[in-house]
Amino acid sequence: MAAELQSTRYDVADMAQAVDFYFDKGWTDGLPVVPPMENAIWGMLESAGLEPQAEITFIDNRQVSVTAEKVAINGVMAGCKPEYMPVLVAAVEAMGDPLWSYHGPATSTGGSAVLAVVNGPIAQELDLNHGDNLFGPGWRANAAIGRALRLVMRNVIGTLPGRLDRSTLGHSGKYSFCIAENEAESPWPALHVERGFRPEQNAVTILAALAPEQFYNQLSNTAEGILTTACAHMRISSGVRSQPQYVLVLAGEHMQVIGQDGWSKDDIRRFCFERTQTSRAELKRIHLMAGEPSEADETAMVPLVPTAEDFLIVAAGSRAGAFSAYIPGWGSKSTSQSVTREIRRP
Amino acid sequence: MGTFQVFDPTTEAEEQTLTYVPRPDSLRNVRIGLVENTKFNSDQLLRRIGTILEQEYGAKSSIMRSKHNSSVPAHQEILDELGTDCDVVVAGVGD
Repeated sequence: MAAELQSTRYDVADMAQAVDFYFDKGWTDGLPVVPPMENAIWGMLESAGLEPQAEITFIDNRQVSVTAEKVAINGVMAGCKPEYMPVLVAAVEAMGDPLWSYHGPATSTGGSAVLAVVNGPIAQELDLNHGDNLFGPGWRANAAIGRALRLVMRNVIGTLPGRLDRSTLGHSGKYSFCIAENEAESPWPALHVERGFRPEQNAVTILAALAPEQFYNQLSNTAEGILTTACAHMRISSGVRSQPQYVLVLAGEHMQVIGQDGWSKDDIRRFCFERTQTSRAELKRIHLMAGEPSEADETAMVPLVPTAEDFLIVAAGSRAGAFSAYIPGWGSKSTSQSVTREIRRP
Repeated sequence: MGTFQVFDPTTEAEEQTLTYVPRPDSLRNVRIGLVENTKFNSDQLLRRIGTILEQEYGAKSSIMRSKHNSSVPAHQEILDELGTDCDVVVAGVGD
């Protein structure tokens, strides 16, 4: 490539000084970063077939052009291998989509993170974890891709905690929140296939998301039993009244039982939509809605999410253990929705 | 190991020039526009402000328009209407 990197260069004496330099500049998430050197940055760009100044997205409300060069630098800092770059690029593109609507999820006191779900053959090629310790540490690709997204938000778009990121609490997914789906063992079509892609295509779906909440059901050997537990947990959760979407992450044992019962993802969605509704009266009694409950409020039902389609079903998590999880989306459907982008490689 | 080079990961926002209209000397007989951000109670707060501006400061009228949601700027229809029909606009984050 003939182009040159445009970013300011700094001379450092050694690795230790370089690590401290990034802390001193306020360019880290609180953990040490990998000092981004020229060869590594070019490796990222070449992996995605991008020139440094290619614009990945433009964030309107910040008037910031996010270039391939800056995504690459932050990716290296996060610990990415070059081959992760196409995933990172697709996820950053998605963050610039008006449907995701950057300003709200990035700045809100509601404290969402960017959940990224990677689908397609690339997940296995990159060794993205879809199994044991799904939301925990241990896999470089999950950790580094999720971390890189947050570093791009911080360093390129200026989403600094306490300044433009006004999260009241936030959660640990804001360090990194990237998973894959267990497509090989799942009894259902993968998330990206449901959203219009072919199975052999690679895609990433992002959702402005709160922290995952685990639930336990070791008693049931039916889909209805497990999902009844899921709905009991979801029904009064995270504000109830306006969440745009919920992700339901079904791990190994639950996935098998529900699949063997012959339930499709649509069946799961319909069941969950029905069983997570709450009356206006109850919402008023628990002070999630203003006013005194009336008689009519007792039978006026408020759904957890606007439609059944707003439950995103993902098969992931360890084979062992009678646990699954739900992840509430942030905000409301008019403020931010999940977005899926194809991951393109040269 | 000798000196080596590392790179700046940040980007500066593109500069924008904002032009402010002159503030009115008085609110007497001005038309007030109220931009509501859809957050809980923000409409009630703005209505109250509109009433105070009319009753205590002599404003001629007030109209309220709502944004599509709290996370986006006011949409073009609101800007066009308030730009034409109002002299002073009150907006803010009601939360």
